[in-house]
Amino acid sequence: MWRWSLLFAVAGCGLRNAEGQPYYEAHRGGAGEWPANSRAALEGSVAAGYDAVEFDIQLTQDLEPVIAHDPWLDEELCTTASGGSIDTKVYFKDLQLLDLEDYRCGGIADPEHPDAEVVEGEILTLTEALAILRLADDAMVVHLDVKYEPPHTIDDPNTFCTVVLETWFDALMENPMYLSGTQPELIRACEDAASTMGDELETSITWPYFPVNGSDTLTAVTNELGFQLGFSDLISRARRSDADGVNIAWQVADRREVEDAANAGLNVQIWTINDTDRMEAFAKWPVTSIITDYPGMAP
Amino acid sequence: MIALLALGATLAAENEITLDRVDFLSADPGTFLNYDVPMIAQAHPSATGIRFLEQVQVVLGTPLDGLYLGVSISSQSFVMEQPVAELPVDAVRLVPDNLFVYGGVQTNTLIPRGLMLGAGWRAGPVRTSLGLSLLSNASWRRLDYGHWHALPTISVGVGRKHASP
Repeated sequence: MWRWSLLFAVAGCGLRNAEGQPYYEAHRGGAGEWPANSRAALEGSVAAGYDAVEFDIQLTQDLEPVIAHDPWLDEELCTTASGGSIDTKVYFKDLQLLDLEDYRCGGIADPEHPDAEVVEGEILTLTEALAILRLADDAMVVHLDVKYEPPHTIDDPNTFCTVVLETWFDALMENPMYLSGTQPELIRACEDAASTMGDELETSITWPYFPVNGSDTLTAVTNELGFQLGFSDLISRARRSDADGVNIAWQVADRREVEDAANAGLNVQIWTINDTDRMEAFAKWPVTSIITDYPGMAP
Repeated sequence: MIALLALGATLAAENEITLDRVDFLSADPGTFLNYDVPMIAQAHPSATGIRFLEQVQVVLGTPLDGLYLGVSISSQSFVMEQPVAELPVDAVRLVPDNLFVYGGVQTNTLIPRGLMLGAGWRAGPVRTSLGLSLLSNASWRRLDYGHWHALPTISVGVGRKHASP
C-alpha cells in the first residue's frame, strides 16, 4: 500500500504549473452554441465578448475566400437554397462565388452539437466575416485557419496566402490575428506574402495533419512513434514551417513536448477541448490558448 | 532499438546476455510517471495507454557484471547497478542485503540524451527503485543539450531472482 502512496506522491513532481492563464478561442465561431462558421456564430461570439474567435477559410474557383471547414459543401449540414439535399460532393474549388448563393448552411441540427442553435444562413465570405468582427472589442484575437489541402483545394499556397492576407489587410482590422494551416509550405508562403506586403504575420502550424479521408488513428500513432524515436518533434516542425507556434490536437498532446516548444519561444494552442475539467487541466500547461466549441464554459 | 534487441537475442543464444527483467514502470526516461499519470483522468485513454506501453522496458543483463541494457520504444539505457553491501564503505553493513544503487546513460534511439541514478531493492523477482532522471531534448532531429528536465522516478520490474551478495 505504501508503494502506491509513494508512486502517487512522486507522480507529477517534475511538473511546474504554467504561470498565467491561456485565452479561449471560439472554435468555428463557437460551434457548440451556433452553426459552425456561420454569421450567427460570429455575431454571437462578438456579443458574448469571447477572448478569441477561430474560423476556417476555403477558396472558391474565382479566388474568393469563404468561411467553411471542409473542401466541399457539407452534405449533412447544408442544403440547396430551396431546401433540397446535396447529393454529391461539391468542391469549393469548382464553384464561383455567385454559385454559393444556391446553398444554405446551419438550418439542420448538428448531431455533434445537439444543443447548438439552428440558424439557416448563407456561406459567408471572409470580407463579410471581418465586417462582423469589426464590431468586436479590438482585443479579440482572430484566428484564421486556412484550409489549404491539395488536391481537394486549389494547390497553390501563394495564391491562398495572397488572397487571404490582402482581404485581411484591406479590412484595416485592429484585432490581433494569427493564421494557421496544416502544410509547412502554406505557412512559409503566408510569411513570405506578409513580408512582401510590408506587414508582420503570426502563424501556427497545425499538428498532426489528419488527411482528409485518411485514418486519424494511423496518423496519430505514426506521429507518436516519430516523436518517441526522435525523428520528429514540434520545434523542428515549426522551424521548418517558419511558424511562430504550433496548434496541437489535445488527444495527442504531450506535456514535455509542449513545455519544450514553449521554452523555445513558440506559441502553443490546443484544440478542441469541450469539457471544463479537461480545460482546467490543460490550462496548467504552458499553452497560449485553448480552442473550444464552448468558450462560455471556460473556467 | 530493434537492432539492439536482435543483438541481445544473438548474444543470448551464446549465453552472453540474459533477460534480467521487464520494467512495467520504468525509470528510463520517467516521463510517463511525471507527465502522463497526473493527466490520466483528462488525457485521451488511447494516448495514455500507448505512452504506458512505450515506456515498458525489457532489461538485459550483459557479460559485464552489474551492467544492464534497457530497451523500450521511448528510451534505451546502459546502467551500472551495484549492491550497496558490496560498496567499500564500512557503514553499508547496516543496510539490507538486497539494496542497490544504480547510475547510467539514457539514449533516444542511441542518441545520448540523459543520465539516471538512484537506489532500489530487489525482493525475489520484484525490483523496485527510486531515482532521478536528467533528461535533455537531444534526438536525431535536434541535438539539443541546452534544455534539461529533472524528473523524480520510480520503477517496478519483474524478472530474474538475484542471489544475495
